Amino acid sequence: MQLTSQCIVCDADVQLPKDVQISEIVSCLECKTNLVVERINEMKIALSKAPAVEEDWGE
Amino acid sequence: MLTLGILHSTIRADEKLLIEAAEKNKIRVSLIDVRNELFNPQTYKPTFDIALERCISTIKGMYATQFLESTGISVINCSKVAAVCEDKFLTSLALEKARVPTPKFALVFTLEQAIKAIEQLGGFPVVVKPNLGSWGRLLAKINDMDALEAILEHKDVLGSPQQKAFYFQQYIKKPGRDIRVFTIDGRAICAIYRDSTHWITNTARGGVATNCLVTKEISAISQNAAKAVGGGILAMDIFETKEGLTINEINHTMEFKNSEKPTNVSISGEIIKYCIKVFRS
Repeated sequence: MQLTSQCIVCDADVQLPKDVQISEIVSCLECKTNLVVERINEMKIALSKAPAVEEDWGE
Repeated sequence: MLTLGILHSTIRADEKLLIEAAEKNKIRVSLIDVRNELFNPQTYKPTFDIALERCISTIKGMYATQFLESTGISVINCSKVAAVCEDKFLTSLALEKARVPTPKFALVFTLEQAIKAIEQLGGFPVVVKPNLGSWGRLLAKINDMDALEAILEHKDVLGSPQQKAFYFQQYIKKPGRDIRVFTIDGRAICAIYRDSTHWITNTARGGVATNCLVTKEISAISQNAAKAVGGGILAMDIFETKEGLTINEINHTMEFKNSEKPTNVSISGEIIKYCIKVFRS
């Protein structure tokens, strides 16, 4: 079964991978907003806006 | 059963590969989002035996590593390695000390000293880089005095305190690519070419990854560079020059998701095996 949630910016359906994890960043294909997985609860997935890239981010 | 704590902030494709590799190697994973942790030595109760630091934020990763080490938990990479690799000036110093080939470099705090430094490095062009930073961000190739004055003034006025330490590196003309070598426990396990028409070849900036054969020369310089910074799990960025290979930078929380396919090497699997080895030793 395809996992989906709703974009908090444009309300579009956001498709999620089967192995989705909390703190994973996904993109809304409609409005291109980067979203972060906040909670996974009985297949209900809550998204919020992903944090912006910070100066010390990287590898 | 061994439980590996993966310290993270966001979960990238790299971390998902690590989770999968851990399952294949029959070890448990405890995902630790460091942003939700409370690092109080009086109350902290770890849920894992050993930790792998994979934070996207260098500063948060370093504090988490130092905290866990203080409680007696081994972290890969250890804080000593991370401290050297997270700072480009300290990496250059470590390589210089160990006589590992690396581009000429200098660090200054003023425009006047910058002019002298550039003369010592052989003149324009030079590259100025943030000491702390990644993905090819805020790098500048400075071709002349006008650009130098403008960039240093911008950094001075708009930058964070770290941006006001100006790290200069000799500009190396590359053959349209550089080499990224993945080393674990001092051994080069695989390498990729990063091809780009731009002078910045990071895959995060559009560089295209293809397999690179690990030659004896690549293996030797990687081994020496790993030893110079303290070993562990590292990714070396290497330039090919007329005089031979030279180490540009070393990353201590490398991204590898785009490199497993071209190299046909399970980098995530090798990382997990190394964590198991460190725990058992």
